[in-house]
This record gives sequence, C-alpha cells and structure tokens, in this order.
Amino acid sequence: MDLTDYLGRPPTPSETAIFRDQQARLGPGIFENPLLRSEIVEGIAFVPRAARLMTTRPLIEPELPQ
Amino acid sequence: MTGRIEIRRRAYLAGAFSLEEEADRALGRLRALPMAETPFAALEPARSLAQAAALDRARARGDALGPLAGALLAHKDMFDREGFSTGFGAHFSRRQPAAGTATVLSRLDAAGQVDLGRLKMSEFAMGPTGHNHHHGMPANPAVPGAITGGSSSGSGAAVAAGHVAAALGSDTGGSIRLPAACNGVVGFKPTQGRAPMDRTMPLGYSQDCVGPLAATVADAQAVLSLIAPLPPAAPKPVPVAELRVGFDTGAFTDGISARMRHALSDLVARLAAMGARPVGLDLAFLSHLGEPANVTAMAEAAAVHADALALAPDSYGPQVRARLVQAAAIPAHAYLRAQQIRRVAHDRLTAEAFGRVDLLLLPTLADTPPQAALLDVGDGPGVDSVVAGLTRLTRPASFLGLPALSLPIARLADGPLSVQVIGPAWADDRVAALALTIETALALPAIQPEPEYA
Repeated sequence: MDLTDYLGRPPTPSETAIFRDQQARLGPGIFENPLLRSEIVEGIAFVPRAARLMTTRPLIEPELPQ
Repeated sequence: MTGRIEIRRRAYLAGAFSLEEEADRALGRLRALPMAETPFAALEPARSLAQAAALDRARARGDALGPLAGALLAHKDMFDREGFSTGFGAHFSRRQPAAGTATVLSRLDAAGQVDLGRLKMSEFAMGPTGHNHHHGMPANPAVPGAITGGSSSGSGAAVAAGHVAAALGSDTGGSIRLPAACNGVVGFKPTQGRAPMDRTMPLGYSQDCVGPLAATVADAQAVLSLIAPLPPAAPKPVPVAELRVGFDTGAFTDGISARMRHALSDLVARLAAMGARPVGLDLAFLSHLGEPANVTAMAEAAAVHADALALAPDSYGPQVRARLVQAAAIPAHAYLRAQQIRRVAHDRLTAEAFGRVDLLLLPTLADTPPQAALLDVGDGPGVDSVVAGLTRLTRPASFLGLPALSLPIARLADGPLSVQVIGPAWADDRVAALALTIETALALPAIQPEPEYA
C-alpha cells in the first residue's frame, strides 16, 4: 500500500519506520507463527502445515450456550 | 459480600441522603480538580442533576427504584448520549454529536444511575498506558506517578479516587483490565458478544467488549448484569470446594516479577486450602498470540479510521497515527492468517486448559504498574514493544473472546498486584464467583473510603 495515499501526505521518517517494522514482523508473527504447526486438536497427532491452513476456518465467535 | 452500590441503595431508600444534593456536591468537587489530573473529560451537570432530582421525586412518591438508585457513575467518553457529543479521547475537532443513546447507557439510566459525565480515555481507545497526546493522562490516585493504564484510563482513576461507584470502559486487548490493575480496582471484561455495542465507538470489531470497572467484584458484576444479562444456559458457578483452578507453569508467565509469582503462589495455596484443586498448565502457546491479536486489531481499526486518516492525518496524535500506519503494512491474507492462528489457539485452550480446569488464574500485569515517564515513548517502532509488553497477559482473553475479571490481590508500597480470573466463553458468572471468593478471602484494605452510610 502506498503510504502517501493512505495518509493523504508523504509519511514522516518515523511513520515509514513503523510501517517497515510491521512488515518485518508479519513473517515470524503471522506467516511463520508456531501455532500453525501445533500438534493438537481432537487427537490429530500431526497435520502438515499446508493441510492445516486449508482446513482451519478463520472466523470464530463464542457460540451461545445451548 | 455486599457491594458498595447496594449499600448506598439501601441507605438512599431509607432516606439517608438527597441524591440531588449528593450529585451537586460531587460535581462541585470534580469542578475543582485541575484539568491535568481529573479523570473527567466533561461533566454534564444539568443532565446529572435532573437525573438525580427525578430519582428523589420518584423516591418521595414511593415508586419502585432500580438497583442503581443512590449510585453516582460516569463512563468512558465513547458512548453516545442523545443531545450530547462523544469525544473518543480525540482532538476536539473529532467530537461527534450523538443522534441517539447507547443501549448500555440507557440500561443503566433505567436502573437508576446518576451519570456524572464523560471520562478520559486513550485517543480512540488505542493505547494501553493511558497517555493521551491531546488531553494528557489523568493522575493515578492509587500510585503517584504511575500510568493509569488504558485505554479506559479515566474509568480506572475515577473509581479508584472514589468519585464514582462504577464506570463503564471498553476492552479490545486489555483496556478494562489494565486500568483496573494500575489503579487497584476491579475490571470485568465479559464474553465477547455479551454486551450490546450499538452507539459505542468501535476499535477492533472482533475483540471490542464493553464492561465495568468498580471498587468491588459485587459492584462490577451488578453493573455488568444490568447492561448485559447472560443467556439462561450460561455455565453456572462451581463451588470452590469442587473448583479446578488452572495456573501457568510454562513460558507464558516467565516475565512476571518474583513478588507477583509469590503472590500468585500464595493465592493458589489459599484456594487449595479452601478445597479447590490447583492444576498446573503449560500455556506457553499463548505467547504466540501477541502479533496475530495486534494485526487483527490494527486491521480492523484501519477499517474504521482510514477515511479520516487520509483526510485529516494530523488530527490524530503521533502515536495513534503511527499505530494506524501499521495497518497499511497488513495485507488481507495476513489478517485472515491471524484468524486461523486465533482458531488454533482457541481449540488448544479449549482442549488443553478448559478440558482440565474450570477457570484460569493469570497475572494482569507482570508487576505493579510502571511509572508513566518510563512509557512515554513517542511514535517510533518502540511503541509496539510497549503495547506488546503491557498487553502480553491480557491479550489472549480478548483475542479468544473469553470472560476475564481483574482484581487486586496485594497492595504494595509501589502499587497493587492484580490477577485475572479467566473462564470459558459465557462462564462470566463462574469467573465472578471465584473473584468474589478471592476478594472475600484476602480482605484487602479498601482503596477508597467506605461509603458514608455503610
């Protein structure tokens, strides 16, 4: 995303720095997050990461108690 | 234990005081506070006094009065009230006149509150320290020089100072529990989706919750029950003699202070002596939720703020603007990947923790609240480490939608130590029941004067 469009003016050096810092944190924090390699859930001992990602529905809300 | 609101209600119904005179005295005291220190963003004296006078008249007629009759409250400046403007802790140019009243305020009005006005908050609820570029941070009445915590900074400070019996706040990553912990009071974040969110300022839709801060657990639970009744099938409290209480033995709480560890260990031993069964759990996987929770909150915040940011970027304080800039670095698939991580963590906590225990005990902060000067970090990438550090222990319950109540368990010379009681979704009453047990067992000295009419 173009930061000038986003801010309606050119970014300051600290805004550019925090943008780049966030970009860098997406790797370890999101795309390589250890939880995506968790050996868990209902007896599944090991699920290849790609399969896990294909079968993990992303949107949840607490279900109302029945 | 009877809450202070109920004690005052009984005294009021017995004719011990005039609510209009009481509100007038309180407004007089609040007007005298220096702007830099007051937890109030705005008083609404004419409306407050009219509300109090109407209750006095209803009492004189012998009308049935609600459970909040006799209590003075005030709320974070993010709830609309028709005829008034909402300020959001933002620059004055961003105030918005309200076209209606938030359901949470209407319900408290109907229950007999006198609402004194609007409490300070972090700008647009973005900031766990309580700093505010435009309006400053209210003074922490419990710990001189310490942060009030955010984003419900004024709510924590107003309750701790005894200005109000309770105050609504909102919590997206810890914004009720952190100011509760910093000011030594109780903060109750309900299950995600329990409290109505209409006419309340959004920050991060999927994590936002409205809940109370109060002097006691009973008061917090009373106010929460009034704004958001639980569904009938919600899990019930478990008697302490049958309760399984989980505590972390893993890396998630590695960073807490020795004295926090000691206080928590004492608390667990005390609960065990009452018949509860302590269960050590390795919750290290919760350490991996910080970035996904932040990505989620900032992406959702950008959906709220992107238009205003492009039109008037300099109406935002530098730190809030910097955090919104983070959102520009988050592509859609990173947001959705964060939701997948959220799902996995939810399933793990359900299986590995709530499959074995009824409730969890975790610290709210790693130690007593830090001094404000240490955390005034400006708008560079250092902002993120401050946010991540303060919210490390509170974020999981927000991200996973769980009820969590913070209460003090020790009052040290440099401030309170507080823990969170966390339950599975909708087990809010179970959470409150254990918190009440802890509060009663510890019997800490009150942080504010006992009610005059106790």
